[in-house]
Amino acid sequence: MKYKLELVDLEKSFSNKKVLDKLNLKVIDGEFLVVLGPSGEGKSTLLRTIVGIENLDSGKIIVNGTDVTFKPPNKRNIAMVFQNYALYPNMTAYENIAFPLKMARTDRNSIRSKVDQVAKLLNIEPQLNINVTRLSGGQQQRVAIARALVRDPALFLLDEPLSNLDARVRYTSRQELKRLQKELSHTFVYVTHDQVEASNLADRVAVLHNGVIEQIGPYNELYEKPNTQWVGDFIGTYPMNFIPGDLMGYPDSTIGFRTRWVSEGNDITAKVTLIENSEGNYFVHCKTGDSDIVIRTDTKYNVDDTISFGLERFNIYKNGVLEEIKSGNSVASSGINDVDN
Amino acid sequence: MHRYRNYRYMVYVLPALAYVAVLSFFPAASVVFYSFKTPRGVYSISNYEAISKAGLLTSIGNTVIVSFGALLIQLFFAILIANILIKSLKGNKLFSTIFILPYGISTVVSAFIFSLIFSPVGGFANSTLYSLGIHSVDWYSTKYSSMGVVMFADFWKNTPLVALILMGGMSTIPPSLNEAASVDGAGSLRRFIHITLPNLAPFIAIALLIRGVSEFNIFALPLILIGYHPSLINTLVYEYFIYSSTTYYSYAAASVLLAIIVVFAFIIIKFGGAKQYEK
Amino acid sequence: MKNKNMPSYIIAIILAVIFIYPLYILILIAFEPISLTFDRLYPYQLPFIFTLKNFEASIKDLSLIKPVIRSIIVAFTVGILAIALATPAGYGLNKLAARFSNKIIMLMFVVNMMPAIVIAIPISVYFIKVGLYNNIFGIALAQELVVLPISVFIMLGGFRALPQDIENQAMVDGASIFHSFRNVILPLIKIPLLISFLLAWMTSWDEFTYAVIISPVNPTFPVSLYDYVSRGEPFIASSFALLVTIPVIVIVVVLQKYLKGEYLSGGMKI
Repeated sequence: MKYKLELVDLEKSFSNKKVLDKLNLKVIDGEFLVVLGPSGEGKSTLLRTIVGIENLDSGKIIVNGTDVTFKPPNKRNIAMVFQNYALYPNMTAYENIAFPLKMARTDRNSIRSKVDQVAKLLNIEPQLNINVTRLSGGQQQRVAIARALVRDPALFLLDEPLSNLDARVRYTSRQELKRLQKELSHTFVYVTHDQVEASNLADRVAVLHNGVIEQIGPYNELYEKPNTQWVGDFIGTYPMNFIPGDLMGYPDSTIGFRTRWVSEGNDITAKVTLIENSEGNYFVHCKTGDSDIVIRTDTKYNVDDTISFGLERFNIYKNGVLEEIKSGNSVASSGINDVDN
Repeated sequence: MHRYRNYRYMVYVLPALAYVAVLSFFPAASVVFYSFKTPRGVYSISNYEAISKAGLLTSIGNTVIVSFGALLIQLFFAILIANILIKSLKGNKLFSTIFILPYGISTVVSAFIFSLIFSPVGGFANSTLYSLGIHSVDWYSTKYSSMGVVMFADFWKNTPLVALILMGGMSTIPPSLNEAASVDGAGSLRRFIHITLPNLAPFIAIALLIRGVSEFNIFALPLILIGYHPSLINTLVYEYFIYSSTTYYSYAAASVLLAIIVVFAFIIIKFGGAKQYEK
Repeated sequence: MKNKNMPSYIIAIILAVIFIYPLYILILIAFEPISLTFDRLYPYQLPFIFTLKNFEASIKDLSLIKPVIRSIIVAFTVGILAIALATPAGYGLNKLAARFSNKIIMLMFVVNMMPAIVIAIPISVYFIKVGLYNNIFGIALAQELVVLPISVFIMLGGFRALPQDIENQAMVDGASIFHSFRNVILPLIKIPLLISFLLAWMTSWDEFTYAVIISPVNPTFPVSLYDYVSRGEPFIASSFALLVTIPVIVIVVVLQKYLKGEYLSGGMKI
């Protein structure tokens, strides 16, 4: 397999806090990789070390088979879109997009044709001669992406590029970004804390936690088979439910299951504490033993009801790590996904 | 984004810092050191004894009077001006241009103009009085009137700067505060006392610090307007430097001046609310 | 509504008269015949009788041209040096943690508080040794002390106002450090640079203490003006005083837009 980017044992600390702790990651040519993690887990730092703005403490960065660890950012052949777009405020949209080409000493004519081409692709031709400070948020974001695309680098890094947009623009931009990436078959590394973006955009999602990639794979795999309890807890609108293994006859372990993995049965008895109604489904919060769990039902229960249910499938965790996947009578349909779109 | 400490950027700061340190700290330290040296090469406080017999205390007193007097006058009028200019009155642009003009006139030129206005005999101020049929006045008849002339010239030259700083402060007060207060029935004076003044406090402290320190340093104005009669501590240092055979007396007087400034700056920083800016 | 503003107008007009009167006197002595001003015990203030004789006389008097030229050279040196030192300092301070950079700024201002006369006397002693005494560059080096803290402060404010990551973006876009400064940063800090320079220029133009102590023999304009006044020959200097005041007033009126909170306290991070 051909890798566009390989990160080997990256280490980086800020004043005694380890942000990256021997992090390893391989990005496949042409894939859309989303790095997902809670705020403050060093997602931005990871991108900034890849592009070379932050120095590494140790480790190796390989782009297209070439070790770029000790190269300055302008020699790494990587484009990056910053969270706030970092457009040059003294320039027009055209000048912004042309800037990387100008720095690469491209001749005037090919600058013009390349800028026009990418502007057409992103639908910003009418705005080309306007100063970027006078563009709307969505237009600014397109200019920033155009400026990255115009260079045709080995790799694109995007640092939460949709987070400054309002909801509707964000939705359309998301679709468009995905379309662009597939059409041009570029390699994208995209950082976000937003699960909706991750599930919609990513070919693979890499979950960043405690300075390492805790799990990497398609979003559904992460959702259904989280390698660790932490990932199970983090992924999904509702965290995975965890109950002591004793309840199901698995001592010294923890049972994990999603809200929808329940069926008729008597495996678990619980007391209802709260009911949420969401688009025709009831999400029932209840307590069994010391564990708080949420299940999805079609039946409308009342608070303080005592209910029992079975588990269609569940994961068994030992010491926080996935041990075994149990499918009950009938394995639940694949693609179960309670993430709202 | 968090901005992490990155000490390698100190390299960019060092030249400016070194410049100031070498040309400022070092000479100041040497002044204090040599102020204890006598012409015979012995270290003692005899320089200080000599200058205190020769009227050092009076000069300190005069300096304090002029500094605080000028400072209070400036502060009062600066608040007045800032209050007028912050309103959107018709013709405010013209007024603000007029009020800023003295800032652009060099101290020596201002001193020169005021020396012509307040001539001991005749002069433009007396000419005005004369044409009104009033007896002319010797503006330098007493020590206090002389210092008054200095304070007035200083007020004229430096009030614009104080007003600028205060206007910067006033523009940071959200108008909604004043609106809310007037809805609550507070008159303009009460709004000023309860809203403008407390919010302005840190800026007043900054203005006091900047102007106060320069007030203790005023030199060209008194030198040109009143010479050494009476002498302020700055002109005293200069007088010793020019007319005495050794520099040691002027060093001793300079050290006293330094001490006064340090104390003043300390008081303002400690109690003046400037602390809020350090965060 | 109009009556409400009356007191403000009255105060503003009284203050305006006070602020303009000395300027009027300066214009008067420059353009009115000496026979009506300096030669009279009670000089005429009105009516204004216009003459250019004083001007011609003072421009013919070459002794004042040299000090003015010196002042111009010194002021430009101080301004350029201010930019040369304050630009990197502002850049570096912006990259340091605010807690740390604010302390450095404070330190510079504290140093700035030291009385000029206290510094000037020992400096003049050193400058004699190194040949900078009675030298215009000696004056410039000393005057730089006065302007450097405020210049650094203004430049820091300028760098803090830059969009986040703009410099990083330039590097990612393939710009070298030189190109990123030349093409991206410089156009964005033009105004703070200009303000630093002009403030430094003005401060030097005005500065008296260092100038009189460090270079009494080759005086700058303020010092030689003082010489004329103390020798009792003010009429020679009067036209010149006006002449050299005009450019500075123009600068101040131009700068007025920027002489506000943002720049005078712009580098402050609260």
